[in-house]
Amino acid sequence: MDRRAEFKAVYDEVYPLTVRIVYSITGRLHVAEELCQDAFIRYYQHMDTIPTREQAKFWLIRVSKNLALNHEKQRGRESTAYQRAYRQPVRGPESGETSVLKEEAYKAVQDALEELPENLRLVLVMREYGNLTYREIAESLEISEANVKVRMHRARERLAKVLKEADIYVP
Amino acid sequence: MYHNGEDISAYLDGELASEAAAELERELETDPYARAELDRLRTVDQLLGSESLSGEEGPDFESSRERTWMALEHRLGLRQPLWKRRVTLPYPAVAAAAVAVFVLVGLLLWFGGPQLGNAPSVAGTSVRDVDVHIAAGGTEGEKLLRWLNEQEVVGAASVELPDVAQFRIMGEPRLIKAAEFRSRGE
Repeated sequence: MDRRAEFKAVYDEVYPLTVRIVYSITGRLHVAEELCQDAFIRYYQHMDTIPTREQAKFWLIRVSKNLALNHEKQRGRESTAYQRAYRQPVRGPESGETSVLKEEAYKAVQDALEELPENLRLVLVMREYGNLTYREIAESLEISEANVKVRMHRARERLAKVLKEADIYVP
Repeated sequence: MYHNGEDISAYLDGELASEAAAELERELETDPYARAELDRLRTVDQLLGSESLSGEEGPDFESSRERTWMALEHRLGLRQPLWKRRVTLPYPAVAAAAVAVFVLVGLLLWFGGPQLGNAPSVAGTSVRDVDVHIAAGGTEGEKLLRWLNEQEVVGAASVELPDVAQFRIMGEPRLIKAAEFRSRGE
């Protein structure tokens, strides 16, 4: 398989994962696309040193995740506020009290997710939005599977606590 | 055996080993606290996982994949030449094109047939019956005659000179002595 074909095969397999993870961190699709592009360009330049497709997958997840986190750090608190406003849900056909409660719940979850420490937030994002297994998360973050298990539970605990305190409606 | 929250969380993710998962399921049936813990953590997952909860449509990741690939092809210079690109055609379009080709060929055969049938009479026409006039200048005329001779197709050719002779002045005019001119003529 030539270089281009191998690159395309990796892209088709890994892009759907990376874009979901980066999107869940940045909250904006066009930003996620740009960051994923940068990650894949870096991979193309280094692909000779990454022998297997599985290693390529973890490498790309790691790089795109780091790019997303750096991007968010650069944007800072001010832009986080903008991001929240940007992610305000558009009201669907459902209206009335139920819809308002659902919107509030969604916003509270997103806010709570953003408030989580980075190490907890990442495992949750990778699991929920990237649909990665504990082993894959461990490989991507270069930590043990046991550590992933602990972090997943802590992340859920924190979110559950925040949601309880906010008395969030669960549809 | 008492399972901690981490096990219940891993169970939710399908990450608990089958033996441990079976044991936890037995515990969940009898222990209301374990059951409550499972429900609590499951609620968080429901809230996280339901993007439709917000009422807004989720992003179109498939379009995103295609869009980003095109951008990558451009930035990395990976775009393949036209003849190497894979073209996917829908079956109905291919079938319609095939039918159109058959109909076209059929029409050509139908209307073109009688004309093709005249071909033998054209082939039987003698070259002598053909009267061809070709206007050619001095050197071109000579070249044409040589070429016709080489082809060994033309039996005879007649050269028709123009009624009025035309002369062209070659080179620059020069004055010479009368004696010199006479000696050239001899």
